[in-house]
Amino acid sequence: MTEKILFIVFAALAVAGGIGTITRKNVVHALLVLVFVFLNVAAIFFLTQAYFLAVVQILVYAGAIMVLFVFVIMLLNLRTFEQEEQTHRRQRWIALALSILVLAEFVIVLAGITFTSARGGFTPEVISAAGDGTKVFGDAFFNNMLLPFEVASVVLLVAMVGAIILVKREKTAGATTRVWEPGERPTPEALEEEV
Amino acid sequence: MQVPDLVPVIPELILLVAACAVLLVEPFLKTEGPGRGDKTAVMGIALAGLAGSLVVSLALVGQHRVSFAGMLVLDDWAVFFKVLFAIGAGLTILMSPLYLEAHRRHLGEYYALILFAVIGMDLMAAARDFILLYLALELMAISSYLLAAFFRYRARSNESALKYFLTGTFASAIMLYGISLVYGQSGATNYVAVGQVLGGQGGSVAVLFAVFLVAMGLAFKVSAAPFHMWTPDVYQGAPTPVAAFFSVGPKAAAFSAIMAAFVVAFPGAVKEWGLLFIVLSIVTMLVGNVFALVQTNVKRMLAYSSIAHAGYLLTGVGAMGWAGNSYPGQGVMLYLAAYTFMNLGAFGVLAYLKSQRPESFDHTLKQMAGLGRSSPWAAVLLSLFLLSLTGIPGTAGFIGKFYVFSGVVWAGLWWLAVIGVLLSAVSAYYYLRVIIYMFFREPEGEYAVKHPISGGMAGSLAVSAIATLIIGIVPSWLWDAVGSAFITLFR
Repeated sequence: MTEKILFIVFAALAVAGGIGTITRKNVVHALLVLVFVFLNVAAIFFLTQAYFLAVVQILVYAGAIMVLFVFVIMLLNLRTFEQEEQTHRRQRWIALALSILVLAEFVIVLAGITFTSARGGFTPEVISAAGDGTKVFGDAFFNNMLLPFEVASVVLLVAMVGAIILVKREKTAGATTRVWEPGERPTPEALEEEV
Repeated sequence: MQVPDLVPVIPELILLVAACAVLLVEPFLKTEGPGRGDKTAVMGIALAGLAGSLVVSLALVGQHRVSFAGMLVLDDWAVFFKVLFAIGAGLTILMSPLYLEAHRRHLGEYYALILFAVIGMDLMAAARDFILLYLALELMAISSYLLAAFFRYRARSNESALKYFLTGTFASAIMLYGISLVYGQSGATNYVAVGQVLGGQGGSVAVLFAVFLVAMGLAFKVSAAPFHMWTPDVYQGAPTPVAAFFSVGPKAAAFSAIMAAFVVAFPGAVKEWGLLFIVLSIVTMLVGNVFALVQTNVKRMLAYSSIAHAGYLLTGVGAMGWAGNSYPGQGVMLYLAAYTFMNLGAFGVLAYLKSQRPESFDHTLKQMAGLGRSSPWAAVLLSLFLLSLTGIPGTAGFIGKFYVFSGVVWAGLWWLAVIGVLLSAVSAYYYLRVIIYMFFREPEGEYAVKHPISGGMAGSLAVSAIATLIIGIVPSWLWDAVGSAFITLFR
């Protein structure tokens, strides 16, 4: 019973934090609320006895990734999201109606599903027999899940290469290369140019 | 711990080594100003990697190996797609340097990203586990987003990459949610294990919901309507060889994943997912063909035409589920092979024309006028590829459509085949219009091409054209290869 109450509390806080994250105008405030979301999610992992995931959630997400975000914002000197003029006002209401429809569909369908406890190779009995969750996790990670683990490392490599080709400043020789500084607007001709 | 069997992933390991070698060698090459320079070395490494992967894949024909705890299977099915992807990527790389030079953005990373995308596509075809499928899909997708953004100084390219990235990640997230529901109900992510658990449950609402979400994620990748909105903008904004690659590689990979995953993992709900894909296919064929009719930009027209072709392919997948039999899937495989060559060729000719006049050519129909006289080879080749896309007998496109639609009729869905044939008759209008412009319209200005088709571009277009004709005239060998590859999926 206590677990259930705690779960509801943490889940509600996480959802509230999520809403807060996307509604804050100030970027730094949004990020701080996001850290709060991550901590709540970590707490939910703790409740479900996924201790390793909980710790990773705090270390990686609340720690490393958030610090990175804050650094980027500092370097870009970004304080608030620019108020873009609303061009899709009418679409907004249609989008809202459709979102509510989809949400209702999800809730109705998912409420109809009864997930009968964990199945397959990772039931609570199996995990407690093998020691603790972290041990089972590690075993699975480096045996059965070895290939996805390695593929994930390639994905990260591609992401790094991509970040470099997207942002590396080129040495300009002559007037052939156009470099757009932040804030500078491309010319109308460049916008219409076919690739 | 026992060492996993690494033989099934040798083709991917070769590609990985080649991609890393490209990244390592590139900084040591001489450059002549930004984004220019002799990149033959990295291109050679990339092509050698693809050739190595192709040869090793072919050498592994007939083997059946299960590796990494059932996560990955090497059989003729996987080999077929590995070979197809290697050829497609090789042709793309051959047509790229001329185009990239013309746009002053010839970087080695381009080739590495294509190789990384091919690794992802290979793994998608070989995967027998949803976790690996998802990661392979992401590897392919992230490489694709970056390739779309490759001309980052061009507003169109930026726009296309952002649209692709945002909608793509959204689709991935939906698919991942579907996979989590599958896991929640079956306790497994392996296709076979999922199939064993869910097969008995039949089409319960929960299973159908999960199937629907996974199907949505993959339908996005094949640009099936109504998940096609990104396609025209991305194809128009991406570098033309990249658009060519997008229209064949990721599409074929997603089809291979749909067929492998849905048939094996959701046997209890075949009728339902069959029906889902039939509905998707009708909408996709309609949207693709109708919107292609009104395009005046040839590159954009080809983008809509690729949506229409995804629709024809989906009829085969739908028929597979509806009939509860895998036979129509063979036609889909054959069509994918035929489509790879003809569509790469069509985009290749556009890339050639753009590389000749990087400043003025804007892919409009008007600028195609008089091409038959100023560049007869380009005009003849483009005509061949467009005729093949229309489905004229004697070309690969006809054979592909014939086998897909005959599979659909075999499944008892003759009305679906009628819709498909009628709509491909409609498609003749917008394909033949380009040919009419090229040969029978006077050009408005002087559009002379600087160089005739040569080098890698010539090789790439020649291979595409010859393959289009060979598949069109003697398709039996390909049909046999497809047949023997397809049955291994169910062993």
